[in-house]
Amino acid sequence: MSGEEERALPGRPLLSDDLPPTRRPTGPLPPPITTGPNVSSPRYERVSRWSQLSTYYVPIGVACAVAFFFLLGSLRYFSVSFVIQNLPAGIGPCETSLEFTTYTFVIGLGLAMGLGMVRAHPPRRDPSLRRKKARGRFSYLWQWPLYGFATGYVQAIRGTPFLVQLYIVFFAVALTAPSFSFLGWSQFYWIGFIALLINTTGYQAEAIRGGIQSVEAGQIEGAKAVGLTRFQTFFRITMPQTLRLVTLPLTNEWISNFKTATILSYISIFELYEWSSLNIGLNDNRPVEAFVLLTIFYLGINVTLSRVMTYVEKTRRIPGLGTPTPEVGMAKRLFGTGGRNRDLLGLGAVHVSARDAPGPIQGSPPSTEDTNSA
Amino acid sequence: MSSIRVKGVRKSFGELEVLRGVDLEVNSGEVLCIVGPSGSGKSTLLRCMNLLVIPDEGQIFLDDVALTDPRIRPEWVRQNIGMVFQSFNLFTHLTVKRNVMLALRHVKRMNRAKAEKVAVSQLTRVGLADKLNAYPAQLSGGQQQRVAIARALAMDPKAILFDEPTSALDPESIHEVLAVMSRIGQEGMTMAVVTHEMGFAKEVADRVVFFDAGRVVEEGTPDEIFERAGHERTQAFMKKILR
Amino acid sequence: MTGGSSPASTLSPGSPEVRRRDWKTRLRGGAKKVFVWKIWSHVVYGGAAVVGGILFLLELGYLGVYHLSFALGALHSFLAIHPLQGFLLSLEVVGVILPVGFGLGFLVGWARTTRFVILRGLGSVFVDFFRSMPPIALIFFFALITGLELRGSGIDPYTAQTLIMWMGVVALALHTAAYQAEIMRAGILSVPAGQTDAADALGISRMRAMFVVVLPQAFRLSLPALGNEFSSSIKDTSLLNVIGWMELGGVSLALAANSIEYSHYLAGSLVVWIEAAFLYFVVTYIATRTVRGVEDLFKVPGLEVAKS
Repeated sequence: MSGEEERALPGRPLLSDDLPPTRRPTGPLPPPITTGPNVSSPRYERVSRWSQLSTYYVPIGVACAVAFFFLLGSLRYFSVSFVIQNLPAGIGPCETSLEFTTYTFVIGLGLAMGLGMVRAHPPRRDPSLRRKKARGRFSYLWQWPLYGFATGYVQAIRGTPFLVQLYIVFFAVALTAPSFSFLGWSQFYWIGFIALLINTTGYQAEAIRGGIQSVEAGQIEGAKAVGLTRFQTFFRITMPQTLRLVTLPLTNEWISNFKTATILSYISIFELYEWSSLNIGLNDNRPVEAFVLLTIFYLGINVTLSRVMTYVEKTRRIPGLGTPTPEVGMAKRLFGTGGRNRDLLGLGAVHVSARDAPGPIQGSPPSTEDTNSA
Repeated sequence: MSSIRVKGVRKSFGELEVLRGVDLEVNSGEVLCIVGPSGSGKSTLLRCMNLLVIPDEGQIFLDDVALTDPRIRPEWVRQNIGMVFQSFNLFTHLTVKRNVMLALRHVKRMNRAKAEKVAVSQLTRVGLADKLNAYPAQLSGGQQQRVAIARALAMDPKAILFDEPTSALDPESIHEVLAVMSRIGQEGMTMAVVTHEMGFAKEVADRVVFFDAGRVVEEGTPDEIFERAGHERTQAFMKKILR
Repeated sequence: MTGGSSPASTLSPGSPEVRRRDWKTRLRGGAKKVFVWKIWSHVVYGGAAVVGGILFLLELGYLGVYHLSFALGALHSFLAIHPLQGFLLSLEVVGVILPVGFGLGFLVGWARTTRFVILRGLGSVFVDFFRSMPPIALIFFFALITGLELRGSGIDPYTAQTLIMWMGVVALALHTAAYQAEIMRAGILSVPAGQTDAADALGISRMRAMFVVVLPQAFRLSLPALGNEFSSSIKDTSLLNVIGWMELGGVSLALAANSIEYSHYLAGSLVVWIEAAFLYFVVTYIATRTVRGVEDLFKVPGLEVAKS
C-alpha cells in the first residue's frame, strides 16, 4: 500500500526497477532527459508556431500553387506577364467593391445592433412584475409588433437569394423614380447600395443576436445580484461581452458581404467580377488570366483579413470569455507528436527534437548514475 | 445589520411546487445555516429573499420593509442584500478590481477614485491584494469565490446570502473560502448560508435550519440539530451524512 | 412516471386534452415539449408551406400576372415558360449540389483533422480557395475555362454544352463543400479531448474511436451550422443563370425582361421577382425545418448546441 503511494508521488521519476522484469531495459541506459519542451516558454511557442507554418503549410501551399499554374500553363493561352501587366487595372474596380462592401457594412452594423437587440429578447412578461398585479399582466404585448417585424425581416433576408432582393429593390426603385442621380451616384449605384445594405443588415442582426444570447445566464444573474438595473446590465455587462464574442462572426460577415457584392454586376456596376469577366475574360479573350487576376484579389483580401482578425482576436482575447480555440485540446491529440501519433514525415514534430528544445540537451553527457540514485 | 423575516412563502415552477409555505427568520448579526437534501428548495428560498425569484405568495421583510411590496424596486433590495453564488458569476470581461468596482460606480454612484479605494480594501480583506488586475478566468475557484465575496461586501450590505458557496471547489479552496466566511460572520454580518459543509455549520452557525420538501422541518442551535434532532426526517438525513 | 396519482399521467398520450395542452405550451413557448408531436409538427409546417406556396403560385402566376399580361401583351405565354419549370430545375440542381457537397465536405473536413500532413495541407488550401472566391465567379470561370479546354477537341457541341453547364454546378458543389468541410472540422475539434482519452483508456483503436465516439458527436454538434449551409447553397443556385441555366433566377430574369420589353408592364417584373422570392423562401424554409427535425431525432441530452 505504502509502496504504491510512494510511486504516485509527483516528481519521482519512473525507474527501471518499477517495471516488470520482462520489460526492464537491457544494455546501456539512454541519456537522461534533463529538460523537455517547456510549454510556457515564449521561445517554444514561437518555434512551434513557426515550425507549423513553415513545415507544412507554406511548402504545400506553394506546391499546390505550382501545380495549379502548371495546369494553367498547359493551356495554350496563359501568360504570366499578361496577369502582371493587368494587375494595376484591377485596383479601380477593387476600390468600388471595397467601398460598396464597407459602407454598407458600417451602416448596416448600426441598424443590425437595433434589430439584433430586439431579436435577442423575445416578448415575455417581465418576471419582476408582481404576480397579483393585473396592470402589468399584458404590459409586454407592445413588444410583439417590433419583434415580429425584426424576425420577419431577418427571415425574409436569410431565406431568399441576394439576386432576388437586388431585383426587387431594382424594380421597386425603377417604378417610383425612373432616373435620378444623388451625391454623384447614379440610380444604379444607389439601387445596389440599398440592396446590399438591406442584405447585410439581416445577416449581421443574426450574428449579433447570437452573440447576445451566448452571454451566459450567470453573468446576468450576477449583475442583478449586485443591484444593476436592466438597462445597466445590458449596456455594462451584455453588450461589452457581445462585442467581443461577435468579432469573428462579423469579420466573416464582411467577407461574405464582399463576395455578395459581385452580384451587383447584374445591374452593371463596374466592380471586380464585372471587370475581370467582361474586360479580361471576354473582351480580351483571356479567361484563365482573368480567373487568376480575380483569385489574386479575392484570396489576397479575404485570407489576409481572416488570418489577421483571428490573430488579433486571439492575442487580445480576455481569458475565459468566448470559446477557446479548438486547437488546444483535441487537436493536440489528433495532431499529437509522440507515440503512435507521430507525423509520418516528422514535419510537425520538429519542436520536440533536440534542435529546438530550449534547454542544453545536446551538451549534457549521458550519466547513468543520476537516474538510478534519484 | 438587520434581520430578514420570511412569512408563508410559496413558489411553484409550473406544476412543481418548490416552496410550500416557508416561515423563517434570520436575526440581526446572526449566521444561519440552511441544510437539507438537494432539490428541497433551499436555493429557491435564498433567491426569493433577494427577489431573484418572485414568490407566488407570502411576504419577506428586511427589518420592517416588506420586500414583496410591488412598490419596492428589486434593485434596491439587491443593493442591500448581497449574494454569493455557487458558480461565482463574476463578470468575465472585467478584471477582478473592476468586477468589484462596477456596482459601486453604477449602483452606488461613487466616483472612480473612491470606488477603487473600497475595492482594493475589500480585496485585501479577502486576501487577494496581489490579484487586482487578473481576469477571473486566470484565478482558481477559491480565489474567484473570494472575489465574489469581496464584491458582495463592497456594497456594504445589510445581509449576505450564500448559495452553496463551496460546492464547486476543491478541498483546499473550500477551506480558504470558509475561513473568509467565518471571519465575516464573527465581525457581525447577518448571513444566510445554504451549505453542505456540516463542519462549518457546527462551528460558525448560530442557528441551523433543516429544510426538506419545500418546508422548514426543524430549527435550532447546531447542537440541537446535529446531536439530538427531534424530527425523524432530520435524524435520517443526519445519520446519512454524519457517519 | 409510474405513479398514477398526478392528474397529468392519467391522460392517455393522444387524447384531446393532452393535445390541447401541447398546443398551449407550444404557443407559450414553454419548455414542455412532446417528442412525437415535435417531429410531426415539422411535417405539418412543411406541408402547409408547400400547399400554401403552390396555391399562391397558381393564384399569382395564372390569375394575376397571366391575365394582366394577356391584356397588355404576353408574358408567360410569349416565352411559353413558367416559373414553376425554373423552380423544378433549381430543385434538380440542388439535389445534385447538396449530396456532392456534403460528401466531399465531410471527407475534406475529416482530412483536415488527421495527422497526415499532406492531407491537412491540401485540405486547408482547398478550403481557403473555395471559401474566399465568390460563387458567381467560380461558376462563370469554371464554365468558361472548360469551354476553352474543349475548343477543338472534337466533342460534339451538344455534349460540350452539357459539360460546360454542369461544370458550373460542380463549381457550386465545391464552394459548398469547402464551407461544409470547415463546419465538419470545427465539429470534430469541438468534441472534448476527454472523449478520445476515454476511448484510448478502453483500448479502442484510433480509427474505430473516430467512428464510434468522435464522429457521432461531431455530426450532432455541427448540424445547425450544416442546416444554414444547406440553405445558403440553395440560394447560391440562383446564380447559375450567368452560364445559361434557366433555373428560377434565369426564368425570372427572362420574364421580367419580357414584361417590360413586350408588355410595357413595369409592375409585372416586380411581381415576377416577388414570386421568385416566395418560392426560394419556401425551399430554404423547408430545408432548415428538415434539418431541425433531424436535430430533434438525434437529440442527446448534454450535447445541445445554441440554436442559430
